[in-house]
Amino acid sequence: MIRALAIALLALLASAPLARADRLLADVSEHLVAITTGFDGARILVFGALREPADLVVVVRGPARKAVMHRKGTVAGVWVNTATMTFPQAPSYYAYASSAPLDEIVDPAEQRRLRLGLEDLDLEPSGRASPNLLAEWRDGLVRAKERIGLYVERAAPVIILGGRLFRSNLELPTNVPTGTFLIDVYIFQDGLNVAAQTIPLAVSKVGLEAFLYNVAHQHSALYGLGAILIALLVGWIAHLLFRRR
Amino acid sequence: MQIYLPVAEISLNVYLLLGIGGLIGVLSGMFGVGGGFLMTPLLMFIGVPAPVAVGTQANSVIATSVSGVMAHWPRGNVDVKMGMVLLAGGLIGSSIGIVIFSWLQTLGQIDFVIQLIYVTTLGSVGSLMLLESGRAVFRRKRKAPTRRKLHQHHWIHGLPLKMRFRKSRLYISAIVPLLVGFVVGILSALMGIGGGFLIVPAMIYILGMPTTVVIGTSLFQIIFTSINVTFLQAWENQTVDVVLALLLLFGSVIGAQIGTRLGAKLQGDALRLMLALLVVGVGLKLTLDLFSAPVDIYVLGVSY
Repeated sequence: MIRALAIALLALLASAPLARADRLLADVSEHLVAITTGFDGARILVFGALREPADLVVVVRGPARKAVMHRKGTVAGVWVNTATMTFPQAPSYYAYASSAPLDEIVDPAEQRRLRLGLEDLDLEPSGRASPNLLAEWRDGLVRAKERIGLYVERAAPVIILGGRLFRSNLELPTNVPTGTFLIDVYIFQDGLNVAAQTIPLAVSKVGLEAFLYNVAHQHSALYGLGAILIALLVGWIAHLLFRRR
Repeated sequence: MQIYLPVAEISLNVYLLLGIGGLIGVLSGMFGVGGGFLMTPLLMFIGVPAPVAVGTQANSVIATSVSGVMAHWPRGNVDVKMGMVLLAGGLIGSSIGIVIFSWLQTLGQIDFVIQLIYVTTLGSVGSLMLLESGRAVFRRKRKAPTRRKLHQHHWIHGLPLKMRFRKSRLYISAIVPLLVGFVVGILSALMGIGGGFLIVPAMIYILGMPTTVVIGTSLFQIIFTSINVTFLQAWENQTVDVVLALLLLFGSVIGAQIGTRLGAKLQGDALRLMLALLVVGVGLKLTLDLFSAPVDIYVLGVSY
């Protein structure tokens, strides 16, 4: 893979005359993350070239999904869900890599405008509440997602070589959601965003995994009967095997 | 070795899953319980989403109970007639239970209600069993065996519709097992389990069946209840993961054979005492969970 990368980088540099107008040129090592039976997470290499030295932030964002949050409270000493809040369009996955900590390379106003980092993540709840309550719900969601590894603050460094070439290794966890991910590469000079590029990344189940998932969701009754049949068979075979001994 | 589970949408260790299956299988073979009350919390603990844990464990319980019943059958330990009457009550009960389930879901407190039912049933059933079996074990150790009546006679035996259950050596009203099946059916639909740990003590203490017949008969009944649950879960909620179920199955069918042999070697009283301790233990753990402060008061809900 390193060789392929070297070739890709060389190709990038060779096309320098074409790229001269671009401040930034970036790509990822693979555009499809295939979830197979042995899926154990995925490593994505984001690499590219800069026209002139700059600071970099790479953001990986999963498809937006509905997230339901509960707040627990005590009722007569017992912990129960006392309130619920829905976020209809929360990113299912969010991680970023940067060449230095965000507050050192990005202007705070710029960071808010670009919604960079977990602090400024774009999370709109559907319910109504006072602003500070909403902020609590929002932070609660971020913490809950961080606990299961789906929101990651500064997941990896971005390494810049000679001020021109950059690369960053990002890891997707095993519980990664499926769908179209967007990888945004931002470059900053004096804290201000001067260029950006978006690269799509498909994460999808393939082969047996995809087949089973589709049957389970599209032919549910058939799937249920099949599951029952397999269980009956396994039980019977097990009995036969053990009786012989 | 990791394996990706297509419906649960998560990667888990193969050996861990086989081990959990094996453990539940041993319990199932020994005590005649499906083990759902233990497997569901265990699966959730290792990261399987709760609805998938509930749906999938029902699927794996089918295989365990089939091989369990087949092991008990030649020993004459299955009372088919009793099983059918219990099952009739159970199917009506679980259908009503599913209606109650969706009604509670609209009220938005299903998690808490399920937890509460777990705690109360495990707690009360477990402590009753513990008291009874503890007393029995103690009595056996102290005195020479005293001749006891086959079972106590009380108002239950005055009910109409009497039926003879040869294998269980009982002549009682069919209404009693029907009612037992019905109540267990409601509870097991709500808890998403086969209901073995509820029906086993009910058979011993309410119906007065001999322990030897109880295990085979409860497993016989559980086959059909778990088939019902598996189908409904797969059809309505798409929460049955066959890959996960198969791994649990391989572990549990082997475990069940070991459990059956172990169970045959142990005294009925000792067996009951062990089951009682296990049930009480899980009940206590769940009670503690109910009262202890969560890591974070904000938690992600299930958006299935």
